[in-house]
Amino acid sequence: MTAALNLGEFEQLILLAILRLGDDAYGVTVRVELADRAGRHVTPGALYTTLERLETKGLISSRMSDPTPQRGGRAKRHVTVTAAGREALTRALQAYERLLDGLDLLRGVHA
Amino acid sequence: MRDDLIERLFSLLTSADRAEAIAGDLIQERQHRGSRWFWWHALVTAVALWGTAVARAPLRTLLVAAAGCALLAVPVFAGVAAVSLFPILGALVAWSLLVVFWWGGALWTGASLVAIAPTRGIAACVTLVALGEALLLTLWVVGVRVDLLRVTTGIVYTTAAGGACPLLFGAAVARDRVSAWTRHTLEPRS
Repeated sequence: MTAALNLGEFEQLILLAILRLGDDAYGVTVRVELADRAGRHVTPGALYTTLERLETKGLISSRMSDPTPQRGGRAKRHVTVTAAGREALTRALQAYERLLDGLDLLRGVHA
Repeated sequence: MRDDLIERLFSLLTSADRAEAIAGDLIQERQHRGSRWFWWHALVTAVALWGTAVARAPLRTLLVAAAGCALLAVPVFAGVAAVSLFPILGALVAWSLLVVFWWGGALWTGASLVAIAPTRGIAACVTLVALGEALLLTLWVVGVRVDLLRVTTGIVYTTAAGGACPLLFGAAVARDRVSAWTRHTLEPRS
């Protein structure tokens, strides 16, 4: 509950990007997804510090993959949204939904 | 080699596996974005990681950095005294004495801060380096002259600025030792 209240807009975007990417979510792909889908060009520094914060809060978990040559023999750190992360995100989005209800702000945007 | 240096820099500010993954991501993106992008974002990422480390406990980090200032004051004063007390020394000998006292003191200070505060030591060392370099740059821009007999102002400033490397190196070595000791202590005995 506390985590849901503290979830910032940028954290929500990152959690959504990770959910969309599924098993392929790691630093590079999350940045590309945020740029392509949300138009947010995020610096690596901002992304990694936020990922670390989300992991500290228990909203995401991570695992290291095998090293690859195109990364200079370094492993990727794949991230996954935890059950607590999904719950926090759902609560935040429900709050948006309730606030948007009746405002017609999105009318015509998808047309 | 330079990629290893970047990973090593990140590992000072976050865990070793995070540092490996961040360096790997930047190296992967360098293939499309170029070296200038890589180096700029390596620097910005290091600053962001340092900011996060300090933000976790700003007061404690500043206190440890202040302790570092006190520790560093002793060898700095000793170096100045050694050069000033023996005016017959040649410029090379005087500069060598400064290097031994200042850089040796910086190495010892970095290692001591991590030994005193294993979780905040590295962030405090980087804070100390940032503040120290900013102070030196300000003094140099303002035009404060610090001639120590035959050692000229330029060499004094350069030697002082170069102290950042042994300070961070001492901190890194101490942190590796603390980590190894912690792993050894926590490992279940067979």
